[in-house]
Amino acid sequence: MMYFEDIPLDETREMGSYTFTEEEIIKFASEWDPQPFHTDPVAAEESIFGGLVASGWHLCAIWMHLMVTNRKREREAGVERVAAGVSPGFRDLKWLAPVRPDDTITYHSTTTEKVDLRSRPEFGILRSLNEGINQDGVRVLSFTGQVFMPRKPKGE
Amino acid sequence: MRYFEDITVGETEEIIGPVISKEEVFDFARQYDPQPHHLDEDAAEKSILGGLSASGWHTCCALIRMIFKNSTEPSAFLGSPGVEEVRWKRPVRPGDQLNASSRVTEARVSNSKPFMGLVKRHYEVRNQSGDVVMTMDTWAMIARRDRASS
Repeated sequence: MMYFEDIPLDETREMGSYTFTEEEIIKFASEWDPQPFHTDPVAAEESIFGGLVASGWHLCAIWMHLMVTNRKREREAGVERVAAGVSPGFRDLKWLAPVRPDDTITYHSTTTEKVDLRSRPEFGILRSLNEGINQDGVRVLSFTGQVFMPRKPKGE
Repeated sequence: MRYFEDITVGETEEIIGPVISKEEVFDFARQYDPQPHHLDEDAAEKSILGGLSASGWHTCCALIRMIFKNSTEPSAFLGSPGVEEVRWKRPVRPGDQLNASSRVTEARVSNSKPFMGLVKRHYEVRNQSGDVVMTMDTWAMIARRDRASS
């Protein structure tokens, strides 16, 4: 069992990669972020991006899915991180470069900071820098995520 | 259509949002955030959220959809460079009806791209009881009227 106290700082983990197809870019954006530069390849040519690009929220949703998949994989490998998976929010989300159809984004997460909580002494907040990099090595996504993590129960 | 010149710091807007159904909570969580507190009612009861709740990313997406589909004063939106901060303050429960209010907190012409301005807005998303469930401080790139044709 890994508790808040056990998590090392400055540890980088690769979360996995994901290829954004044109079909999925359009499907996600049609539902959640219906801008012509996310949903219409022809209209997108007239936009400042010069072509279809994935919604930034799509990049974040895939990050979340990879994070959950990784936790499951770690659990199955016997590394039980007891993260509650509940977050108070995030900061400094930057969409740094466009993600175009068939781009493959590789995600990394680096632990950066631990915050004590006076209001909930049984938890701490773990902060991480999350980044997405495309197949050419260009950083496309960066944000500081936060998650509540249980502290070690007294006596353990 | 409102251009950068039409937008003033301090202006506000109320946006009516949708009811978030249980099917939608499950559907989003299955695809993007398959954790028990979003998908399994028994596990959710035992979690620190005390019951089934929508993924925070779902609430972000619901706000974005609300802005683009329900805003009565759409801007000449060119894209977004990012979000300064999102706070998930309370769980969003299946059946909650969400509304949003926005306030423009900063506005300036882009130095690198003079055909557009950058506008920062503070959004508050409330449920049907008036409780704030999420805040978002985000930047939008908005076309300038006099440069719109270039």
